[in-house]
Amino acid sequence: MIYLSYWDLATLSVLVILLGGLLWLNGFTHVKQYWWANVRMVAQLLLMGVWLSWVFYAENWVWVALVGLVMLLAAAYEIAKRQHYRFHKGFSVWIGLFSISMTSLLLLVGVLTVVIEPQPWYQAQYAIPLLGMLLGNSMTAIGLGLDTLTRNSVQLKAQVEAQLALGKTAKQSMQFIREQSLHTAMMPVINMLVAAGIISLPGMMTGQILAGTDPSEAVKYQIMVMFLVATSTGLGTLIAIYVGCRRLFDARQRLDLEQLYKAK
Amino acid sequence: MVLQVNQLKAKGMRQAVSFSVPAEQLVLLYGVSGTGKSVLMRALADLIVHEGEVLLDGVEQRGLCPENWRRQVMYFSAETAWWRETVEEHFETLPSAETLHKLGLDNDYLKRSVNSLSSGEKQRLALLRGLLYEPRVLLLDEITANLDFDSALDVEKMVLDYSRQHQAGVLWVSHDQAQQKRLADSEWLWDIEDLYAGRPAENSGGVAE
Repeated sequence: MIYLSYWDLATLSVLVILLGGLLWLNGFTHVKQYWWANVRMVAQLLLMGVWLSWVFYAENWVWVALVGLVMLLAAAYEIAKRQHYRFHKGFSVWIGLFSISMTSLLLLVGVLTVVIEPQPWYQAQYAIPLLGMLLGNSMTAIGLGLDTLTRNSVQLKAQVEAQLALGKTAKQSMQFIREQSLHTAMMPVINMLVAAGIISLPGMMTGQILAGTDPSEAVKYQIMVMFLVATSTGLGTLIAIYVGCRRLFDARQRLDLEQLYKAK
Repeated sequence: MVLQVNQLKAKGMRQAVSFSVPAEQLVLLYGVSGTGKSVLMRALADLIVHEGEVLLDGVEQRGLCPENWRRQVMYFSAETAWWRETVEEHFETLPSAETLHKLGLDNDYLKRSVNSLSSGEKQRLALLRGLLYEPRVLLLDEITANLDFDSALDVEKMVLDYSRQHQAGVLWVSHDQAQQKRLADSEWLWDIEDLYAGRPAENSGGVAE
């Protein structure tokens, strides 16, 4: 493997800086966010690198669990942050945490103990990158699904209540919104699956190939990851939509939009 | 007695109201906007949180599951709501050709896209999809407010025919004075202000407590 030096990275950062200038000249209104996103990305990844080297070296399940927990919490927080309408009392974060824990985390444990079987099964080299890929995709899907659910509940309140008034259950009355939410949530994953191998070389595979792995081995890993990602996003979204829907209705099956507030 | 209301209050109503609507009776309710008429109607259908009791033939609202209650005490809004593409997808059981014919519609309407309907057609079909459940009390919240005169008359006829055939009670919010005259005599023409003041008791004799 050919190693990159920090000088290489510094040289490449000129591209990012030039683009920033170009955006600014063209009246891009979010230049500040653009800089901040880049700085954040570099800082996060550098820290992650140091932190992971240490965790790999320590070979202690406590550290792996800790890194996993931080990743889960960050993903749950990001899900809540993407909501235009949020549930009161931080319930959006709880929905996020619950749905990713029930899917990404459980799937990860399953695949590590049954399929990959590294020794020990929680070995950081496998557990953490896999969890990252599952969380990243699930987070996007769940965030989109939940956002569609709450937005539509607010905007299509009349359509929901008309069905309730006809004596339909909350579940039946929300069916059309659930369908839309699921559709919005799953589209990016389906696009990713379709593009994989033709339009894009998935990140994990690219990484393995760059690191010298035989492409046909890398492909097997990638297919496994795709299966896991699809399952984890789909199930996670279903759970999040189910829990969100329930929260929007009271015991008398009345649509209760006061459960939500508009994020500033 | 069909519908009996005791000390009903919800957010948006100035104070609690009590009244009752006898079988087959059509009551017209009017009043300045923002005084809580829609809120009252929606509370009666148990679509919003409220205090107080609502009874249908002595059975309390809370004693029935909400779906069951709302099928019997059914709320209809001014703006009809549609959640699918075509008309037929909004019906649990499809109406017969004869039923549609009576409303001046035909079977083709079921296949049509909701967007292709006039507001009069929409309101008739929205009423129909509810009436097929045979509700015992209709809560009509300005259902002809967006309609032209002829369509409004069609809707009125539909409601009157239904309530006669099924001995259903009707509580109708309307601001249209001509409509008020057409549909109800003064005894059953209630001002929401009178309800707040506890007054329709005196002229109707139908108010509880």
